[in-house]
Amino acid sequence: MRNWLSGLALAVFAAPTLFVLYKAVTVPDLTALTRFGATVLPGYVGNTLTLSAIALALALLFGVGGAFLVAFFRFPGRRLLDVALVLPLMLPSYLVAVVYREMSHLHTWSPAVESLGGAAVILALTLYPYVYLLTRAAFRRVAMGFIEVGQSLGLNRVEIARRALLPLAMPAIMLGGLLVVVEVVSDFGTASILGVRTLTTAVHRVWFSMFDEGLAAQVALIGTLFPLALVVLYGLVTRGRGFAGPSNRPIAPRRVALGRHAGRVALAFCGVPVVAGFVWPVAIMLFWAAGAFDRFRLDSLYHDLLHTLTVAAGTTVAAVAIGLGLALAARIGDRRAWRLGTLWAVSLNYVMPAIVLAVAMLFVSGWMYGSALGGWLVDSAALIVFATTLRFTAFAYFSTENGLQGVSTRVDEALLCSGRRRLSGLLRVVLPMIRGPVVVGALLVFVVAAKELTLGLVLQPFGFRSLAMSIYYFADIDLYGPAAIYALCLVMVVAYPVLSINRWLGAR
Amino acid sequence: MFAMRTLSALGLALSLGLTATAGAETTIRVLSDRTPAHLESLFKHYEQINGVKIEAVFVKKGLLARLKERPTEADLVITSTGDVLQEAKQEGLLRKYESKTIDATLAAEFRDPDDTYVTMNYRPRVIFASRERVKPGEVTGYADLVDPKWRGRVCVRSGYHEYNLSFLSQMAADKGLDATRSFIGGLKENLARTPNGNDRNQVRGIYEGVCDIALANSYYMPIMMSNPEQRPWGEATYVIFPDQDKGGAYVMRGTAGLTTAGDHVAEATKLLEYLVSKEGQEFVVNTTFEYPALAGVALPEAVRDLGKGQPGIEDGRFKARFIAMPQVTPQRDAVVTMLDEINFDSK
Repeated sequence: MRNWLSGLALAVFAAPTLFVLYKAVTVPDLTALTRFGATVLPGYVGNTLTLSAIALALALLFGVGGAFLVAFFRFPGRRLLDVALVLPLMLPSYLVAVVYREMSHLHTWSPAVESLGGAAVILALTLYPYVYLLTRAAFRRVAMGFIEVGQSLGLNRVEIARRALLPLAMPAIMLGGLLVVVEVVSDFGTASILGVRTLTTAVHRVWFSMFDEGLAAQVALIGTLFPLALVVLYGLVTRGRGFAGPSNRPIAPRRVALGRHAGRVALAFCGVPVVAGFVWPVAIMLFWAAGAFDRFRLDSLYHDLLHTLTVAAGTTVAAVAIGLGLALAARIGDRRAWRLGTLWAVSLNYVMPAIVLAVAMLFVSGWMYGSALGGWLVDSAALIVFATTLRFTAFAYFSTENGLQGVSTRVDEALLCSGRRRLSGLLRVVLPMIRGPVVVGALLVFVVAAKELTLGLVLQPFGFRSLAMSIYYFADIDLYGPAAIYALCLVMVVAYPVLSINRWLGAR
Repeated sequence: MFAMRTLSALGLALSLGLTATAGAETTIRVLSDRTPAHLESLFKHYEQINGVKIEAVFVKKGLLARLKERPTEADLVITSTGDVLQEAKQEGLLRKYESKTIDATLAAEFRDPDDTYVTMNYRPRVIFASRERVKPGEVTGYADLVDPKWRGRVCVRSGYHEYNLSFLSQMAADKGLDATRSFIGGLKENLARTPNGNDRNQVRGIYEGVCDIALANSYYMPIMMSNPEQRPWGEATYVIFPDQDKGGAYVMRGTAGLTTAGDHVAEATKLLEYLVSKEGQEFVVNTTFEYPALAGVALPEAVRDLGKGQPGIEDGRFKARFIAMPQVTPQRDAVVTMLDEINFDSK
């Protein structure tokens, strides 16, 4: 029964990919792809890889560096930065791109960003919080026990960091890096605003300007290969390795005070991404919004807000239920193939560009449209919730999985010995132990679903408009004042969840 | 406890939202890839005078894909280029309209030969030139965009954008593929920068001194002039209607047609008739600054000012080169292939 249920869920998750695969292989011949490969494709692949590599390197620098500094050292502003470093997660990347592009046109001192490098920096600035949050949590969870062990073995701090802390935090760093790469590869907004041609922008134009479904599906699959390879790598690296701490109760590491000069350097290092990725863009948006407030009607904002909350809340409930179920089923099954299969199926919809999922869902909705129930689903926000659930369950699943890895298998053994039924044991004993990761997963899903744009644009039912969509419509016709008002409203929607994630992951 | 509270709050928000978004009434539904602001006020006005409800979705991406998958979800489709509706027609996604009014009032070039869609309004793809750096008469047609004289001085948006694809497809239908290929190649040679941003961004490039001439739709001039932040861009440039002595300027058509949905054909036809009626046309022309398909509709002053001083242009009226849509869309694949081969979008 359990396997049937999970199997069914996994089949639903794999369906959009199978749809794309079907579209890609059923083209009558390979002429279009060959021509594409001989002309523009290599450039797109090169751009995508370079963009990912630079953004990843910068995100790791900001994320791991920031986490390391705030977790292990004391310096002026540390308490504030502990929270502030996560703030850029509130802003959609494309919005930050719009702000920097506009500023570069208005003022000569503002750096030019309409280039691959500019796009990479902006993506890194808005995505590094993933790395930061996960790495800092890993440091906090395991650090003190191992630092003590290291000290008792006579290792110095550098050696402890290199030989114990970094390897222990590696799964978290990798997961954060993976999220960054996936977001970069499937990003459409930032790349198109800054004029960078990537595989994902190519999928958009092949699908919508050339009406060539086969070629679009083929290009989408090529774009998916790179992040998918990283998912496999993540699965291989974390497989069979225990990350359970020596103690069940994490002890916060004692922080070492930095000297005056080093303290300032640390402050600057952590302050730069916060200012560049959040404070500055938000300040500009406030300025724009202030200029447009008097000619703005608030009533349209209300509906957009309601729709955004509906989609975000609905997605959160569904994704957490499914993610939890799959993660627990994989743990009970305790089969490597099952775990890897789940990892793949759940990741697929997140790894693919959102547009691919959107078109797959259009196809499904066309097929449902004939029936009364199907018609109602398509006409309500349910279809969008369904799509965002397929896309973002990965967050809930990964987070839960990560939490489960921290629960020693000794707990399971003890439960078995006590003669409890396995499921009730999991629910009553293991679930409370992973409450933190589950809630974090839920909040993350809420944040990303609230910011989601592409699925809304393509699948919008009649009468539906989200905050993200309005931002897009206004920015598209260069009306930055109203766009900023909607953007600030979106920031308010995700502010509490983002700060809450930060608290759950151990900020003080 | 916290988790429970959060989840129940989420559940409540969900149920509230779902009831708010569901529940469709008997209404006319419109599917469009136009900018919402262009049509929303017109629809509101129509609702008031006719007592019907109009629901619209503005699908900027994948309108054709959506129409293909759910052919009957809307009653009327309105698009910003005729190419999309011509494709839709070929896919059998449009219904023939039956209207004596439209047949009687609209000129033949604005009606599809099979009566499946109409051109509501149109705007030429014109040349914006720097007031400072380009003398009147120095640039007169599309051929100037590829003249080596302007090497590194031309701004254009992505070649794959719907406007440029439609423009190049018209050129291909009109002048042949070889001429179009050399035009694309020459244009790329003359680019001042990698194509990026929308049409207005190209005009802004002139204002910023990046380029001297740019290709964009005509209505962006009045739109820029009515926006305090963009006014300087408009003031730095002037509009040249291209090829006035060589056949006329190519135009983008704003088109509308009925879908195959059968529930509200009469009401949708009435809305379609309204869109090309005098009142509807005045509304459209004044909100979009485009040219009306219906003869005898007055142009707003901002449009009448376009091309002032250019020989042959009077009160913004220009000579258009209407290429029949059935000849245009078959060129699209060849145009995209050429853009790929020339790698137009990367400098």
